Amino acid sequence: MKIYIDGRDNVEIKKQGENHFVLKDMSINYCTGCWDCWLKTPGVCRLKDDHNQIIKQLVKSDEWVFISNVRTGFITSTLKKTIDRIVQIVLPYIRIYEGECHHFPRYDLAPKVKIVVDGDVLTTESELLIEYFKRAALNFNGEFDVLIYEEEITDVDF
Amino acid sequence: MLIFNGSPRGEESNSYVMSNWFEYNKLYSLKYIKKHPNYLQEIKNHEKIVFIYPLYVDAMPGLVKEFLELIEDNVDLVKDKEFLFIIHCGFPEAVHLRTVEKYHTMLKDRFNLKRLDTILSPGSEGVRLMPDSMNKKRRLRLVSLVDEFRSGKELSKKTLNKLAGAEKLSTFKKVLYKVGNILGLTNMYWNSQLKKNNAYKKRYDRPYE
Repeated sequence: MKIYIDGRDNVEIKKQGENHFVLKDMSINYCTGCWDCWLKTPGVCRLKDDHNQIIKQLVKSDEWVFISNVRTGFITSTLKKTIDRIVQIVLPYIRIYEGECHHFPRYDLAPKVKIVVDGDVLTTESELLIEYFKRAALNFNGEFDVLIYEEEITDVDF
Repeated sequence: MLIFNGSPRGEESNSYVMSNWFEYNKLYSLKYIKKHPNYLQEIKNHEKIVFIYPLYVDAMPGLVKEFLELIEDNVDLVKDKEFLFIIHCGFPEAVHLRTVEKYHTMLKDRFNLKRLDTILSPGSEGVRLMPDSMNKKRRLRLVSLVDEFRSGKELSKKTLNKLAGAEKLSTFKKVLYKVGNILGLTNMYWNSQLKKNNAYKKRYDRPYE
């Protein structure tokens, strides 16, 4: 199963299906760093907003596709705040994984992580995005797959 | 010197504790940006601006990213200013902070800054909980680097490297860590908090499965 987490903030986006989450049309708060999702209500964020719709789909998906325009040289803050709150799917406990300290996974997940970007993207920016999603994938027990560049994202194999 | 605390925890954060080790004119929490929309004006009024924040999923917290977008939308305000980023994380290795360090480097040209430096301080999660004596080395190094930034000097590479520590754990430390995992020593803090919150039995819950 796939999930599309669409963090573009520069265009009108038409929702393509149940597994396509258009973040700018959703109510998603910033992670407050409270750690309740680790230490008080394990696996559940205390913020009651639309983010749990994403988590429900995310833990059932073996392919995570993040979509973003490049803003200030990186993914949009709309997408970043959404990624920040994925920490509820890992445990607080730390392990040595791929030679580094990382969190133990909460679920039996090993997702392939893709990033799709549109608009004007410099080589240095796309290299940085690949490096970032490689690291983020590692933290979520996954593996980075590919960066796809689309001049205009109209059909991302939804 | 103006400091922006980019931790979503605000005054309860390690970033806040570390910020108060430095001499500054003003310290603001980005957490309150909606209540105090004058932050851009404050940037206009200062030449040296420090951002201090914890790593959230391998980069800046979304809150900080949104503020950087706001700065770019008003980029003329920061032309020829001097920025210092201090980034820290709970993981003990510097490798976790390198990607976002590269990102900051790109901001120098993007924002037409006169100067941009980044200080890495891994292994910082416990700062707010530890007595000052246990933070002494970190504090002295950070204060020394921030003093250099404030006085226009180049940051000492030796101090930067000491503060950043090892890129990855040595083989010996990895083995030690694994043994600690088996014995449950590395989980003591987490387990004590889980027990305090009556959540220990639920620690492996998978509520969305």
